[in-house]
Amino acid sequence: MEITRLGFISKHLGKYKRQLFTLLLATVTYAGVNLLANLVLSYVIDHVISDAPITSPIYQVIDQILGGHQSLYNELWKAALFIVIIYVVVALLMSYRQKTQGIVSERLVENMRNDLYDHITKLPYSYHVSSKSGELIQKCTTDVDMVRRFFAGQLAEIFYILATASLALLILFSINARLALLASISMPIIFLYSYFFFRKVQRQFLICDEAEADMSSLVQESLSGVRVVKAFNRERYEVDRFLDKSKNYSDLTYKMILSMGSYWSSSYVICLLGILSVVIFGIFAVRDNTLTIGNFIIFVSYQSMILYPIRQLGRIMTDFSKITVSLGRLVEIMNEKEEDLISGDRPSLDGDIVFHDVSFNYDDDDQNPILKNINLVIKKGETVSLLGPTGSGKSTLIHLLVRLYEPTSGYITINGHDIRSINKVYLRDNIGLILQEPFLFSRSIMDNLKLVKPEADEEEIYRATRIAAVHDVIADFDKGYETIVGEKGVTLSGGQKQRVAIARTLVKDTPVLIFDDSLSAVDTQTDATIRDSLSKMDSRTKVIITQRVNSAKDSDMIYILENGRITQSGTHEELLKAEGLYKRINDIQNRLKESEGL
Amino acid sequence: MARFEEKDFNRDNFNLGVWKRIATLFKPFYKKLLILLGLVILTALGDVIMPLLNQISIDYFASGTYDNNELYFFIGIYIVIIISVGLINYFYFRAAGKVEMGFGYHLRELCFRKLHNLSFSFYDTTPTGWLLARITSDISRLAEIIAWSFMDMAWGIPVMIMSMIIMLRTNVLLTLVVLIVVPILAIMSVVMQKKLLKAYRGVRKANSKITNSFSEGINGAKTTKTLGLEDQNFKDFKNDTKEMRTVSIDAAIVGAKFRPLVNFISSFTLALLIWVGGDLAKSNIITFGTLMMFIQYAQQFYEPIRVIAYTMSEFQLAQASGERIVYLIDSEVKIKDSPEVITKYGTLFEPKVENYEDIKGDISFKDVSFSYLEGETILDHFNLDIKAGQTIALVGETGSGKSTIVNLICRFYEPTQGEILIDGLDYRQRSIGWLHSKLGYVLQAPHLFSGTIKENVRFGRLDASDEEIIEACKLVNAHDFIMRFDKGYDTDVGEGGSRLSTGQKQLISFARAVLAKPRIFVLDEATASIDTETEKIIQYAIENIMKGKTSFVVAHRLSTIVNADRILVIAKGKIIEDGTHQELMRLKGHYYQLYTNQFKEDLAKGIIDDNVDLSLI
Repeated sequence: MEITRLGFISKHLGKYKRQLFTLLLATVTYAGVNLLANLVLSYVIDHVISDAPITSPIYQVIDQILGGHQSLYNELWKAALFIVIIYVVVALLMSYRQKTQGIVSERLVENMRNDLYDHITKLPYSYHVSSKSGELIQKCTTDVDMVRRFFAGQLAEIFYILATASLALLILFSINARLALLASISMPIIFLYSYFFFRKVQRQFLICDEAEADMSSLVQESLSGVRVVKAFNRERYEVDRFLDKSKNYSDLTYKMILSMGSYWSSSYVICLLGILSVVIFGIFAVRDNTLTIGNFIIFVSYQSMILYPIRQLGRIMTDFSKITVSLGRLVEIMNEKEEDLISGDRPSLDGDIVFHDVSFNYDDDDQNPILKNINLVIKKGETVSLLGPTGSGKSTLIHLLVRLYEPTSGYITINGHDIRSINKVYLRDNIGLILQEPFLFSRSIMDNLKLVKPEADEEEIYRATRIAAVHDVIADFDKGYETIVGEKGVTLSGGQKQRVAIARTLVKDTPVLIFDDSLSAVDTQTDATIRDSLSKMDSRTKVIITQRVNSAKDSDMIYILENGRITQSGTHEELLKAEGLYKRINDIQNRLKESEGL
Repeated sequence: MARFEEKDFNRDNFNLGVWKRIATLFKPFYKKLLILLGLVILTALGDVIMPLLNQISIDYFASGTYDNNELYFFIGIYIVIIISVGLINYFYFRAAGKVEMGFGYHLRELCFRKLHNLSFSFYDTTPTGWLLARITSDISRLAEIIAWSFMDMAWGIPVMIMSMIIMLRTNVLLTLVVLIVVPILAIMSVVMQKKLLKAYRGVRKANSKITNSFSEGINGAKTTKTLGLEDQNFKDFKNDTKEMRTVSIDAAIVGAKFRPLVNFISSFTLALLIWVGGDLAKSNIITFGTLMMFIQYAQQFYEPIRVIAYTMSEFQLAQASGERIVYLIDSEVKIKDSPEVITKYGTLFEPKVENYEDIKGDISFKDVSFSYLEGETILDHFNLDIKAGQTIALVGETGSGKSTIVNLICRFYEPTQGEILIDGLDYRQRSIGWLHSKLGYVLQAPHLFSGTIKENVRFGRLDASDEEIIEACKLVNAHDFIMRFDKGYDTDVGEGGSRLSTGQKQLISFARAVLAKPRIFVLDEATASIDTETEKIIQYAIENIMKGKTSFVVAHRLSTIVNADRILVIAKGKIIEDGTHQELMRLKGHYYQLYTNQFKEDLAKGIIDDNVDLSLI
C-alpha cells in the first residue's frame, strides 16, 4: 500500500497527535493572553486615571475582575498584580509549548528514523546494489531534520502568528473599525513582500551553497592530491585556482548579504510606515474624540505586535514548500518494496544442496543471461570449488543460493526443501556467506565478531580468529581486540578485513560456509593456511569461489564456470584428464616447475 | 606512522594570545571595522529615538493642542527618521558583509598558502578532513562572529546607555523601576546561554552518531543481509535514536524552563510601571506619553542583554575556531629553503624561474640517515651513486625503505643526516621549486583533479599547447581511449577522476608526467593498482618515457622492471642486491626468490594467458 506524506506523518506521530493538538491549543491561548496585558494598561490609563466611561465589553470584563475602576484608583497595585498573573499564565503556556513541541517533534523523528532504518535494511539486495548510498544517507539525515524543525517550532509559530493577528484585529475592530481597517492594510503587504522575497532568495541561497561546496571540493581535492601538487611544483597554480573559487564564494555570499540587507531594511521601513499611519490617523481620531489615549496606545502597540511576526510568517511559508519536498523524498523511500523476511518454513538444512536447471538474468536484461541451465550438487560435508574468470557468474550463483536474488527459471533445494519455501533470515542464518568486499562496522573488532552471536565467549572468538589466521595480527594492535575499526589512523588492510570477516562468519557456526572470493586479498601462503585449518576443523559443507587453482585443488568437487555455464566438473585428477581451462593452467604450471629445476 | 591526535584546545578560559594573533591577522580590516562601528552606533540611535517619537505623538499631538503645520512637520521628521533608519540598516548589512567576506577570504588565503607550503610529514599526521573543516567551517564561523555577533554586542551597549540617559533625564524613580530587574536578567541570561550551549553540544554529538549509524546501516546493508543482522542492527540503531530523543528533549526542557522565566521577569517591569507610573501620572508628575515611553524602553532593554549573553556564549566557539586557525597558520614548515636560496631562486609562489639551472641527472646519497619518527631509523648511513640517464628499479618488502629513498630524492622529506647531491651539489643549495619543476612523478593511486582530461594533462606543464598534450597522450597510449569519448580531450573526468577507470586515470597521470618534460622520473608503485591488460599498455609507455632520463621505479610487480639498468633489492634500509635482471637471476638470491614466487602466484590467479614468454624465467 502506498504511503502518502500526510499518512507518513500521522503514522509516526502516533499517540502524540493528541499532544500536538493541545500544543496548538495552548499556543493559541498563549497568543490571546499575551494580548491582554496591553489592554490592562490602556484600561488603567483611560478608565482608572482618566475616568472615561466604559463602553467596550472587554474593558467591562477587566473592570469586573479588578473590582471596579473607582476603588482601583487608590489601589493600582491590584492592576499590577493582575498583569503579573497574566504573565505567569503566559510563562506557563510558553513553557508548555516549548516543552511539548520538543517532545512531539523528537518522538516523531525518532519513529521516523527507526522506521526508515528498519525499512532500508529490509530492502532487497538489488536495491542496495543500485542505490547511491551518499544520497540515501543525505535524505535520512537532512530531510528528516527538515521535518523535525517544522514540528519543533514553525508549526506552532504559524498558529501563534495567525492567532495573534486575528485576535488583535478583532479587538481593534471592536474599538474603532475605521482605524482598524487602516491598520490591517499593511498586513497583507508585508506578508506578500516577505513571502515573495524569500521565495526569490532561495535560489540565491542555493547558488551560494553550491559555490561553497565547489570551494570545499577544490580544497579536498587539492589536499588529497598534495603529493601531485608538490611533485609538479604547482603550489602557485593551486593557490590561484583556490583564490578564484574563494573569491567567487565571497562575492556571491556578499551579494546575498546585500539582498538580505535590502530586504530587512526595506521591510523594516514598511513596518514602521505601517505604524506611522496608525499613529497619524490615531492622532486625528483622538482629536475628534473617537479614540481615547489608552486605545491609541493599544493601536500603536498591537500594530507592531502583529507586523513583525507577519513578516516572519512570509519566511516560514517559503520553508513550508521545502518540507513538502523533503517529505516526498522520504515517502518515496518508504514506498520501495521490502523483502519478505517473515514468512517461510524453518526446516533442518543439514543436507545436500542441489541446483535444478537454474537460469538467471537481471530484470531489465533478458538478452544477457548471467546463468544458463545450471545443474550442480553440493554434497553435505564436502568441499566444493567454483572456478572461473571474472564475470562468469560465480557470485550470482551464490546470491541465488541465499535468495538475495531469485532464479528466473529452475529451482534450488537444500536437504530436499525448495528454498523458495524457506524463511530468508533462517536460510541466511544457516549459510555463512563471506562477501569479497566485506563491510566491517566501525566499532571494536571484538564487537564486530560478537555481532553475529552476542553470547559468544572469548574462547569461541579466538578459535575463529585463529582459523582465519588473524588472531596474531589483532593481538599485535596496541588495543588488541578493542581496536576500533576505521578509527583515526588504524586502518585494516584489505586482507585483514577479509580475514576478520571470515572469523565473524565462523563465530556464527553455520552448517554451510561460502567463500565468495573472500581470500582474494590474502596472500597465497595465508590462503593455504586458512584452508588447511578449515578442513581440519569440522565436517561443514564448504563452497569456495576462487580464481586461484591452488585454492581449488584439494576440493572434493570442482566446477568450472565460463560465461554462465558449467563447462567442466570433477576432482583435480579428473579435470586434468580432460582438455579445458583447468588443464591449460596446469600445463603452464608444470612447464614453470621444469624451468625452475634447471 | 604517528597517529593523528587533535591538539586539545581549551574551551572555557580566555586565551589572550590567540585574540592578539587574530587582531594582527585582522589588521587590513581595521578601517572597515571603524565604519561598521559607526553604523552600529547610528542603528542604536535609531532604536532609541523611536519610543521618544511615540511619546511626542501621545503627549503633544494626541492630547495637546497643536496647529496642523506642526503636525505635518512632525510627520515629515518621522518619515525622514524612518527612511534614515532603513538606510543605516542597509549600510550596516553592507559593511558587516564586507568585513565578514573580506576577512574570511583573507584567512582562507593565508591557510591555503600555508597548507601548500607545509611538508609531507605534516600530511602524514593530519587527516585532510580535519584540514578541510579548518578552511571552511572554522574560518566562516570566526569571520561571521566578528562581523555580526560582536557587532550585536557593540549595538547593545550604546542602546542601553542612551536609553538610560534619556530615562534618567525624564524621571529617576521610573528609571530605577526599569533597571531593578536588569541584574537578575543579566545573570539569568548568562546562565541560560551556558546551559543551552551545553545541551546543544550533547544534541550535536548524538546527531553525528545517528548520521554515522545511518551511513553504516546503508553502506553495510549487503553484509547485514548476508549475516542476517537486520534485527540486531536495528536494535542498536534504536538505542541511538532513543539517546538522541532523550538529549534533544532535555535541551528543549532547558529552553522551556529558562526562556519563559526570563520573559516573565522582564515583563515584571510592566506591572511595576503601571503601579508606580500610574501613581505618578495621577499626580500629573509624568504624562501618559512618558509612561508609554518607559514601557517601551523597558521592553527594549531586554534585547541587548539577551544579545550580549548570547554573544558571550558564542565567544567560546569563536575562540576555539580561532585557536585552530592560528594553530594552522603558525604551524612550522619543516622543509623550506634557506634565505640565501630564496634570494636567488624565489619562493614557491613567486619563483625566479630565470635563475633555475638545468639538471643533468647524476644523483648521489652521501652517508644519508633518515627516520620519520625519532628512534625509528629507516635509512642508516646510506650511500648510492646514480649516473644520469639510468633507470633504477627499487625492489623490497613493505617497510624496507624503498619508498623512503624515492621520497628523499623528491625532497618530500630531507635527510636527518648526510646529504643528497644532484649533479654534484647538495640539493638544499637550490630551491624546492627548482627540483620539483624538473620532476616527473607518478603515484600508485593516480590522483586526478575535477575538470577535463585536457586540463588534467596540462597540469604537467601549464603553457603546453593542445598539440603537445595530444602528443604526450599518444606517447603513453592514452590517445585512443580518450578519443573514444564523445567529447574527447574535453571529457569531464568527474570529482577525483571518478568517471574513469583506474587504468585510464593512470594513463592520464603518465601523460601528465611526460608533458612536464622531467629530467628525473619517479614511478612509485605506479602499476600496482591496474589490471593486466592496461599494465601491458603502460609497460610500453613507461619504457618510452624513461629514455634518457634518470628514472626510479618502485615496483611490486617485478615483470615491469626486467629491463631496468639497475635493480636494487632493499631490505631494512640497506641494498642487499644490485645488478641487472639477468645478473640477479643468476645470483639465485633474494631477487630470484621474489621473482619466481610472484610468477607462480600470477599464474595461479589465472591472469597470465598463453602468450606468456616463458623464456624470461
